[in-house]
Amino acid sequence: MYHSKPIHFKTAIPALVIALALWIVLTFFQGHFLYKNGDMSLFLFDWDFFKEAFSIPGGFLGWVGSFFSQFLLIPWIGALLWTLLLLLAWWKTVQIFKIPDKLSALAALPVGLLIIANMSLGYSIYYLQCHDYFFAPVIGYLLMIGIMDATWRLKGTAAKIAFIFASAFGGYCLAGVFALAGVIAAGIGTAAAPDSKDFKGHIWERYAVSAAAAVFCAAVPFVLYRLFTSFSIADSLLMGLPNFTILEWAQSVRLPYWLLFGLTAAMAIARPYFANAESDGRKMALFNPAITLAAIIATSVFWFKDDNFKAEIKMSLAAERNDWQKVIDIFETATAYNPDKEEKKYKDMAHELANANDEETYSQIIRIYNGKISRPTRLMVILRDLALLKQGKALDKAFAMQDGGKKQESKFPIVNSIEAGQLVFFNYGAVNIGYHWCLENQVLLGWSYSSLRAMTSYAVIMNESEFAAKFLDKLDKTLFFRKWSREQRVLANDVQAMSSAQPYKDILPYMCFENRMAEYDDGDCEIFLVNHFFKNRSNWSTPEFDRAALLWAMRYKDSVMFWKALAQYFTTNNPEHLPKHVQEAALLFCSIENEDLGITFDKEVLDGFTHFQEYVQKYGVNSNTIYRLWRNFGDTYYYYYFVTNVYSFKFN
Amino acid sequence: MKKHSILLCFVMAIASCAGGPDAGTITSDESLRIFPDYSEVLIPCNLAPANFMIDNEADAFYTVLSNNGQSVTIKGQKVRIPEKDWKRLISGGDGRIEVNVFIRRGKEWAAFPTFGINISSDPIDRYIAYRKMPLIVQVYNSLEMIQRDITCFDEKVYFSNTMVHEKSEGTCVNCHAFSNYKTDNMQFHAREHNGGTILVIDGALRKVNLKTPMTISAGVYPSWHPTHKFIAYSNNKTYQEMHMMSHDKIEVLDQENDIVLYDIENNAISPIENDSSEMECFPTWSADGRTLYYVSNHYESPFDSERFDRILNDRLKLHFNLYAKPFDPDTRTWGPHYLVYDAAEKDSSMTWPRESPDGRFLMTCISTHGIFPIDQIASDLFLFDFKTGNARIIDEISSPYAESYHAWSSNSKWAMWSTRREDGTFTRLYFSHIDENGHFSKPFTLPQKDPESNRKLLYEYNVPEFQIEPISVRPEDFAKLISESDAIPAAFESKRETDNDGNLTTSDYRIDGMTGASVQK
Repeated sequence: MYHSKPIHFKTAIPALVIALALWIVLTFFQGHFLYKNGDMSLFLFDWDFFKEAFSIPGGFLGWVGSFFSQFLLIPWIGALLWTLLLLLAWWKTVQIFKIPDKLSALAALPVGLLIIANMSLGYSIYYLQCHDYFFAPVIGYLLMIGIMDATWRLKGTAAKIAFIFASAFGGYCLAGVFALAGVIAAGIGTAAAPDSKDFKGHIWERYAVSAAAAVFCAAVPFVLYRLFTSFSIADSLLMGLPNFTILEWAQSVRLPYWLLFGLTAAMAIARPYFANAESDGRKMALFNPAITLAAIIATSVFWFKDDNFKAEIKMSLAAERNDWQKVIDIFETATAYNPDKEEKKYKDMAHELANANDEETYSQIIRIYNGKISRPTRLMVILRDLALLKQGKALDKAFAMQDGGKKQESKFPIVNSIEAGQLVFFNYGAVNIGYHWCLENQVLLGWSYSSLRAMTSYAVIMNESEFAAKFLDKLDKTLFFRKWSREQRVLANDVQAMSSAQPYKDILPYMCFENRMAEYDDGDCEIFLVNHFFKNRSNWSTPEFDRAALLWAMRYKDSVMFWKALAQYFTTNNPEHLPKHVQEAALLFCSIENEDLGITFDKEVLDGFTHFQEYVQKYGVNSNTIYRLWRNFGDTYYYYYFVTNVYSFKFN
Repeated sequence: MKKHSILLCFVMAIASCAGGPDAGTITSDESLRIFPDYSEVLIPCNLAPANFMIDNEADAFYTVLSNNGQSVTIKGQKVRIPEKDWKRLISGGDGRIEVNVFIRRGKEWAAFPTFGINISSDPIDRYIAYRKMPLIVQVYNSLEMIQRDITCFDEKVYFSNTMVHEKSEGTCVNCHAFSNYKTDNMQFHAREHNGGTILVIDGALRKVNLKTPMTISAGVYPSWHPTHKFIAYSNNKTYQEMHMMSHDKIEVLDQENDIVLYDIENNAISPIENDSSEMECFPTWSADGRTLYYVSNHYESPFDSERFDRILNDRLKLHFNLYAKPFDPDTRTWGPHYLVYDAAEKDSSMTWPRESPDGRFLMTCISTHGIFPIDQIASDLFLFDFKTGNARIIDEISSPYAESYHAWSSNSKWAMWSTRREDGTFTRLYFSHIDENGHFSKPFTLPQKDPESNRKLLYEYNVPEFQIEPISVRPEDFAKLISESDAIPAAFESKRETDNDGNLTTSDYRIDGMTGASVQK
C-alpha cells in the first residue's frame, strides 16, 4: 500500500520561518510589484470568461492563476496566498518524493525556482503575455507532482496507463506542459524504481507505463492541435508557460521552469534512494542547512533589485490615483543619493577618463559610469514633471530636482510608451494617443484591470458613453473595481459631472487643440510631447497647456520655441512674477543671443547666473568639474542646459 | 385593435397558467427596450432564433412569442428561444411572430405593447464568413477566420493565425473572398511571417506570392470573376495614423494604388489600371463578369519621400469616384474605363462597390473623404438601382456611426454589412432585406445564442461574406500550407487593352515569376 510520508513538526519549523520571512519581505518591500502584477492581470466573475479559459491548452490553469492574482491588488493578501501555496508545494514535495527529514531542504529547490521565476521578472512584466503569471506556475507545479503521486499510488499497470492517458490529454488541455511534465516524470519515476514497494509489477510492466507516458506526451500536441485552433505545433510545448512579446526574454525567463521540470524528473529517479538516506543520518547533518542557505542565496541573487524600477511603478500607481504630491515624494526619496558615494563615482570616472587613450575607451568609460552613477530614468523624470505641472510648480522646481536618463536595468530596451504611455498621454490630454498605446498593449498582452480602466477613462472624457459601457460592464464583474465602475458610469452619462470630477477636471484644460494627425514618436513619450506642444498649435489655449508648453520648450533647449512659448504664457497666465526656471532660461537665452528684452530678473537669479558663468570660465565643464558643478548649480536651468546633456540624454 | 385585444387575452390566459402575468396586469407606460432590437424587423425564413434581452428594469420577465397558432413562453430577462420552438414559429415561411413582453415589479405585472418580428419567404444564404479580431491599431495577435451557420449558432474557426505563430513571428490573415458563394474556390491573404496568398482552387490548396517586380504590392482587396478563373486585386501601399482629437481614432491612407488581374490558371498578374496620377482601388466584377467596377482618386504628386506627408495633409481632399471598365473574359481583353459616379463633385468619396448577383443594384460606401470607411463615423451605404436609375444614400439603414464592408446574398434579397452602430467602435454585422422597389427593411443584427454576447464581446467582426456551403478545408491544412510551403511567385503579363474603336493598344509579354525571364507572346 502506498503511503505519503508524514512530516514532523520539527522538520517544518525552518520552512515556516522562511515562509514568514518571505511574506514579510513581499508585503513590506515588494508591495508595489505585487500590486502592479495584480493590476496587469484580469479575473472576471463571468461565465464567458470561464469558457474562454478552455479555448487554449493550459487555459484553465491560467484561469485559476488569474483568480488568485486579483488578490495581489491587496498585496498582503496576495503575498500570503502565494506564500501558503509555496509552503504547500514544499510540503507536498517532501511527502510525494518521500524525502527524509535529513534531506528535507531538497524540497526547497523547486520552491526556490518558483520564487526566482516570479521575482526575477523586473521590467519583463511589461512584455508578459499572461494574466496569471504569479500564481499559475506554483499551481501548475502542484498539479504536476499531483499527477506523479496519483500515478504511483494506483495499483496495476492498466490503471496506471489509463490514468497517464487521461492526465496527458486532459491535463494538457487544462494545464499545458505542467501536466505533460508530470506525466513524463511519473513515467520516469516508475521505470527507475526497481526497489519500489509501491509497484511490484514485472520490469516490463514498469517500462510499459514509462513508454505509455512517453508516447502519450509525444502524441498530445499533435492530436490536440486538431481540436484547438489557438496554438501552433511550434509552440505546443510552451502551452501553460509564460509567454513574452520579446522572444529572447521568454527564453531566459522560462529557464527556471525547464530547471523545475528537470529537477522534478531527477527527484522522481532518486525517490527510491531517499529511503536509504534516512538511515545514513550522521553524514547528512549539514545537508539541510547548506541546501537551504544555497537556495536563499540563489533566490536573493536572482531577485530583481532596482530602485528606479521600484520608483517607476510606485510613481505610476500614485499618478493613476491622482496623488501628485506622492509622485513627487517618491521621486525625491528615490533620488536622494548619497553625495559622498556619488562624488567618488565621478572622481573615479574622471580619473579613468584622464587615462583614456582613444575615443572608444573614452566612450566605454562613459557608458560604464552611466550605469554606475545614480540617476533617475526618463520615465521618472516625465512622471515627476507631470506631477509638478499638475501642482503648478513645474516652472519653479522641475530643473531643481535630479535629472538625467539612466537606462532601465533591462537586457532589452523598454519603450516608455508601452510602460506608461496610457497614463502619461492621457494626463497631457492626448487621449487618442493614450488609447493607441493602451490598445497596442491589450493586443499584445490581453486585457487587464489597468487597460480596462484606461479605456473607460478615454471614453468618458471623450463623451463616448456607449463605448465606455463596454469596459464598465467588464469591470462590474471584477472583485475590486466594481465601485470604481459604478462611479465612472455616472460620469460617462453626465458630461457636467465628469468635467468637475478628477482626474478629468485636471486633464480637460490640456485638451485645447484642434484635431490633427498625430506626430511620429517611435514609442517615446518625450518625442511625442515636444512635438505635441509645438507643432500645429491651435489658436486657443489654456494656462495649463501653456505652462506645459513652456516647460517642454525649456526641456528641448530651443530658444525659438522658448520665446514663443513665453509669449503665449504671458497671454494666458498673466504672471505677476516669473517663475525661477523661466527667469533662468530667459536670462540664459538673452545672454546667448545677446538680447535685452527688458525682463525683470530676481537678484538671486542674476547673481546665480553670474556666479555660474565665472565658475565655468574658471574651471570649465569637464569630467573633473562636473560633480562640483552639480553640487553648486544643479538646481538651475542653465546647469540643465549645459550639463545634463553630457550623459545619454536623448535631446542631444 | 379588437384582434390585438383578443390576442392579448389569449396570451394572458397562457401566461397566467404558467405562473406569469395575471388578470391584474396593467399596461406599462414606459417603452420597451430590447437588445438587440428585433422589433418590427423583417427576417429571412431560415434565420437562427432572434434571441434578445429586455433592458427595462424589473423583478421578473415573461415573454410570449406566437405565430401560426404556435406559441412559446420564455421566462427571464434573456429571451433565448429554443431552436426547435423557433422553427415551429417561423415554419410558415411567411408571416409575423407576435411578441408580448411582461415585466413584474413587486407584485404587479405590466404588459408592453405587442411588437412583431416579420418573416420573409426569401431565404438567406446559410453561411457567412468573417474575421473576428480585437481592436487593432498596429500590432495584431489573435485573428480568427470564422464561418458561421446563420440558420443556427454553429460557429467554426476555419483558420486562426495563432496556428502558425512561430516563436515571436506572427502572421496576419485577412481579405477572404469566395467564388460564386461557394467554398471550393476561395482565397485569403497571410501577411508577414510565411506570407502569401492562400488559394483554394477546385478544392486544391496553393500558396502564391502576388508581388512582382512590376507591381507596387501583393494582391490586397480581391474579387473573384463569376465565370472564369480570374481574381481582380487592388495593389496598395497602406499606412495609418492616429487622430489627435476625434471620435474617428485612426486614419488609414494609401500612398499608391493600382488594380491588377490574377489569372489563376496561368499564375500570372497583369495590370488593369496603373496610372501614376490615379489611385485605383476596390475592384469588383459585375454579375455577368463583363465589367469591372473600381474606385479611383485623381492625385498628382511625385513619388518621393515626402509623398506620404503630402497625402496626409491632403487627406480631406482625397475623393474617390466610381469607374467601370469593360472586360472580355474569353480574350482577357479590357476596354477603356469610364466614370460611373462623380463623388468628388459632391465632396464625397465612394468605396467598396459590390453589384448584386441579379445585376440590378450596386452598393457602395460613401463618406466625406478617403478610402477606409470603417474608421469614419460619417460613412454610409449608397445604392445604385440600375432598373430605375436612382442613386441614393440608403438612409433607412444608416446609423450615426460608420457603415462599411457589405455583401449581397446569392439571391440578391439580403444585404449584410459591418457597422459600428452599437457603441461607435466595435464593428458588428447587420442585415436587411431589399424589396422590389429598392427599399431596405429595418436592419437587424446577427442572432447570437446569448443575446448579450455582442455587448460583452471585446472583439469585432469584419469582412463579412456569404456562402452557400461549408468550408471543407481543415484549419490544420491551411496552417500546414502556410507554415511549410514557399509561396509560388506569380508571373507578370502585359495588359491586353483596346481603344474605343476596339483596336488592341498593348503588346503581349510575360515575365516569369521564378526566373524573371521575359518572353514576347
